[in-house]
Amino acid sequence: MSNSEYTYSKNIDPIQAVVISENKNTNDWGAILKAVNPLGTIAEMYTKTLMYKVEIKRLDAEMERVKLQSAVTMKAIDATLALHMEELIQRRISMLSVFQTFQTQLEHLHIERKMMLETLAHFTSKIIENGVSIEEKKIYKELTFLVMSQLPQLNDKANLALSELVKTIPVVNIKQIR
Amino acid sequence: MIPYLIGAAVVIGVKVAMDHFSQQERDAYKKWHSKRKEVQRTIEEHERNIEKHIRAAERSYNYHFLVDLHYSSVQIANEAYKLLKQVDVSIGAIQEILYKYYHAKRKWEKKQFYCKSKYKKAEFEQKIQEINEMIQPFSTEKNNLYHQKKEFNQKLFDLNKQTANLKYAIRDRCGYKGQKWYKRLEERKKAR
Repeated sequence: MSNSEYTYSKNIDPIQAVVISENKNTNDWGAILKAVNPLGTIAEMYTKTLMYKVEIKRLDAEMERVKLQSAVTMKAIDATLALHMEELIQRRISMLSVFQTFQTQLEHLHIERKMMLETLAHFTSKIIENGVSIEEKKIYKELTFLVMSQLPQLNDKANLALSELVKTIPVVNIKQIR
Repeated sequence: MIPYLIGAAVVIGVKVAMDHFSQQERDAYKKWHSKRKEVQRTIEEHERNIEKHIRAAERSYNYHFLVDLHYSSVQIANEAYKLLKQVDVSIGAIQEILYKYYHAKRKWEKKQFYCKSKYKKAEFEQKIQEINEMIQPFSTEKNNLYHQKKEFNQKLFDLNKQTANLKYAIRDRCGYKGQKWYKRLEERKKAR
């Protein structure tokens, strides 16, 4: 499985940044106003405390979201793997039947060729034998040429079958596999 | 005096309240800050785990995929080897036929050589020509078979090379499982 097949991201969505001003750099007038109106400062501090608490609650929820997203991604990875493994099993089954067909085909070709060669050997014996009539020899010669014309076809069939079988193996760039 | 005391009490009260709320704010800020860091750490940790999981899934898939390919490659190489052997058998059979013709041809040539009669010589010559006619297609077929043998040899060489590459890829790119598989394969080879 190439890396690109895992299309989902390993990254979890980042947490939303919330800016809470700390008001450390208030100007002189602000400081004077705060000194004059301490209740305002207390109210501001109380508001900020509440904001921090709300933000902590939100971060708790974010934490839950992160855990959930992580679990979902893990499940997606497992599901993708299971799917690809199933594809492999199917490929294995289909390859098995391809092999069986090929083996049977080759076996037949081999038997056919063997029989043809045995026949040709028999014809040859008859052609060079002394006691065989000229007419008979002529027939054997014609039959020899006929059988001989079939032999290249068997060779081609065997060649083709092997080429087809080689094609069933997918071309893999091994260097690309991590 | 009393207004001063009240004033002082108010100031102290405001100061205490301010300190209290300020402390609360600082505590809340610290908690928020540490929570933020915790969430960030959790995200990073989960990302690392996901990456590890992806790598493990890829390795597992690659292992099965390459082992399957290796098996198919071995099977096809075996078939190519069988074909090669069958071609050898065919070449042997054709050579036997050719041997018979050459033997007969030599017999007629000898007879022609020692023969005195012109008529008989011509008859023998005709027989020799007839045998030559028969030798020709068998020689062609033998050459074809040699050519085919060469092709099968090349295919077998390529397949064996591919099988070896797959074997090393399983060893080097499929983690511990791949290394174990390679070791088992080598042990099986040695045991043969």
